[in-house]
Amino acid sequence: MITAVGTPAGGTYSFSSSNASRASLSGTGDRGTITAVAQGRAVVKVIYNVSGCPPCEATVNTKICTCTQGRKYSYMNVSKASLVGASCKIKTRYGTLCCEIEGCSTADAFHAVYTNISNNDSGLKWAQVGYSRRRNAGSASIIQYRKAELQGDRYFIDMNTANAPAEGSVHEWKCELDKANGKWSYYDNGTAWITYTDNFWKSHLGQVVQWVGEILNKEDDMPGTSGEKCSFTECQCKVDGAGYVDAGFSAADAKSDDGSEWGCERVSGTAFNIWDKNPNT
Amino acid sequence: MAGYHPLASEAEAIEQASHLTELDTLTQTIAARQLIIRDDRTPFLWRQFEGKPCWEVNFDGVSLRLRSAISGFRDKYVRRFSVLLDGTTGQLIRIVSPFEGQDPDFRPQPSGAAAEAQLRGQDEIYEGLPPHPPRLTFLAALDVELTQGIGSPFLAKEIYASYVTHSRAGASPRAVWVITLNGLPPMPVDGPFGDTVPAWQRNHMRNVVDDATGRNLFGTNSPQP
Repeated sequence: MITAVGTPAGGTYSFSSSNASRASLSGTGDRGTITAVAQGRAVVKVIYNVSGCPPCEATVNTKICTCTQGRKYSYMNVSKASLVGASCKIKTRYGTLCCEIEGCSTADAFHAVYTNISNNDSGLKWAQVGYSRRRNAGSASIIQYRKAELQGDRYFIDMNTANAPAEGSVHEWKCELDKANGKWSYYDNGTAWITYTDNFWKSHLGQVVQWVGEILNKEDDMPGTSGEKCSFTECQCKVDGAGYVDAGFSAADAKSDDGSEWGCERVSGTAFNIWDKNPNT
Repeated sequence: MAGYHPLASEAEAIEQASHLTELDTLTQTIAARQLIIRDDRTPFLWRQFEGKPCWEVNFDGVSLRLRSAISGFRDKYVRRFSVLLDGTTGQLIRIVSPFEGQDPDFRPQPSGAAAEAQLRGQDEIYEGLPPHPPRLTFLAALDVELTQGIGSPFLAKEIYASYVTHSRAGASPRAVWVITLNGLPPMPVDGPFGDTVPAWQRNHMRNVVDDATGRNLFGTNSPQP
């Protein structure tokens, strides 16, 4: 709500927004109500008309922060029995998070890109490795890191801020299960940088492998843009007792929660791209 | 910063705790007492701490103020920080700010032995206490956590900290601050079923800060309660 004061009194006020797709405005008397539509910036203007004077105006610069929580995905999905490993080379692309450019939010936000193996025998369990960009609730700081996760009987996550991949760099992200010990090893360019052991994974193997781009808020950028896509290449998986084989993507394996917002395109049987079609600017 | 030295009196204990933490800049309600350590939960080091005489320096009525916080930001919690110092050497043993309220998703820290077993499985070791005091004060390390780490200290209901010699994945040991924030808002977990992870498994975060470089090395929710 904004209140305008015109002198001399007795005139009329009219309110407007420079960008109604960001902020809409309605006025009653000397009061204007700003309604956030989408994150961005808008200039709010009030014009005052009073008898005997030319119109005069005042403006206010506004920032509109909207972080609409609800996970969205662009990904490739391959089902195979007895999975024990998956890998892929991923070009690192960081976008911006909701309200990051405007600098006016301390809400949770992230995007993440990773290789993931899951099992759904008794609720979804997974192992995943990749990278992420995040803002923690209550903080305006943005952090980047490589990450490893395990969901089994217990949930573990490691966010390795000291070894975040650089923008544009290509890293091979691989996770592999030692089923005898329920031990997952997480690799970054061939080096196992962390392991997690969990009893669930002593008696279960993977059923689905996914290579994923994920955002927490609708306004977080999906990694990649039309000019610089987040590319996944040499994607492979491994079933128990065998070596790594090509993922064998078909066009039908490519998924996006909303193709008008987030792209996912098959390039070959082992490669695909994801990107944000409307990145924050 | 003054080096470690034996602590002969309450005044010396308070001075040492203040040097190491800067908590004296946030409160004037400070008191020290001697006690024997019981039920320590520091992985790898709990055995050597058990039964050790120490000084406990309590800083009461603390609302955190951190250098990198948003201007005018106010800590919603009023906290007590207890700083344990080895009376013989003056070394920092641990810092604890306990939570006294009710929270159904709140779990106490695992025992030292249980925590140690989990960290060993991740190839992480606390090798001992560094012989020299930290370069970063506790508040400076918390500020690193605020800007580079996972989770905001302001949102933590409970805070634990240790200054230890640490190594992971075969790396050379180095002096680090290990700071655990407990009772955070449950962190969103990646994946469509991320919200099915129980809140008590994702409402705590342990950050490791390199004392020499002032860099946050990693954040993890291990050990689990």
